Amino acid sequence: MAANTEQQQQAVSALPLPPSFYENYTDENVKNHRAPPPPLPPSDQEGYSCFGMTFSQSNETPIVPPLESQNVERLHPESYEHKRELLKMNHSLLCAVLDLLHILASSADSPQRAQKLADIYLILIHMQHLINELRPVQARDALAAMMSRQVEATNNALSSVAKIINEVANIVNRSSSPQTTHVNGLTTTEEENELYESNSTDVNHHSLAYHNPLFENMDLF
Amino acid sequence: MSSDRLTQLQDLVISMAEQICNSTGILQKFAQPLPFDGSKSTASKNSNGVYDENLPKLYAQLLSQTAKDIDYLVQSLPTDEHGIEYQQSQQYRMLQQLEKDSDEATKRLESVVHHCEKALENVRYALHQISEAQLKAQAIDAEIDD
Repeated sequence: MAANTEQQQQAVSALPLPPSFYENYTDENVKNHRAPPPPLPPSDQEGYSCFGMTFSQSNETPIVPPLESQNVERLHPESYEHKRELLKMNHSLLCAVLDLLHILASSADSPQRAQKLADIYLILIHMQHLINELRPVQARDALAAMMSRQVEATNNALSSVAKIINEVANIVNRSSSPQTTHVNGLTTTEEENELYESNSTDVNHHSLAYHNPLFENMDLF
Repeated sequence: MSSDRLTQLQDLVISMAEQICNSTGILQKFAQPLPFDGSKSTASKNSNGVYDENLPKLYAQLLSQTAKDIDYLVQSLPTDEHGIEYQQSQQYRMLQQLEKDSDEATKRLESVVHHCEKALENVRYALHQISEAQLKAQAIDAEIDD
């Protein structure tokens, strides 16, 4: 009963409340290990509710319900290109407005007037619907853009770490003596030093850090 | 705050509808009242404001400008000539690839950081050894001086 009224409440609210189970996860409950395990993701059959609408996991129910399901006549063919249809509808809309004005000027009380108004209404509904159908596409694109920015940031961090480690290796090499030095297992020879110096501008795979015993196992860049 | 293209487009469609409504509403507002059949007397004239000669032009301009803006925004949308399902599968593939890339980059960064920390330890250890050796050398120097 309580769940029912809650669902009803959520269905009417534009900004529904979060599901009530979140109240079980208070700081106190989590600390005392009294918080229940997180709820499982809904199964394929179960579906989930979002803004008062029920969606199933399978791809059969599209996020934007088709026009037919809302008892709206469909103007475009079964397979269509959104861009093309939107342009066509925009132009049809202007023509319909001109037609309506013409009807109003010539015979304002003809049944054509109501027909034209209905046409304009239908075109506007279609335009909004077509734009809404592009929303999931846009959402996925936004997600992809966000992810590629993150990957780029990580790669930038990697290359700046590589650069710094090279600089450090350079400093260490320059401060060690040209003869073979033994400092507690950190060995550099003159030969190796030359090798490092010849590569000192290279920040890539065959960098100083790669060869320097101080920075062993640094072949990760 | 500027919103995304689709929201802008929807806002434009809404303002287009408003303009259509208002432009025909003007007709109603300023229409000449018709005489009733057989009688010459007309209802009192609508006196809601003064009719502005520029209104038709203004609304024509508004409507065509909005239509143009809608056209422009629609043209800027990506093409989906292979259908929205194909686009969706392409996007899923791209997201999966990005997820893989992201995981790899994160793993690499984690191990690089780990190795950097090890290298830092090594350098600290070497510095420690150097300073100890210096102290010992100073002590030897002092002994020699004595």
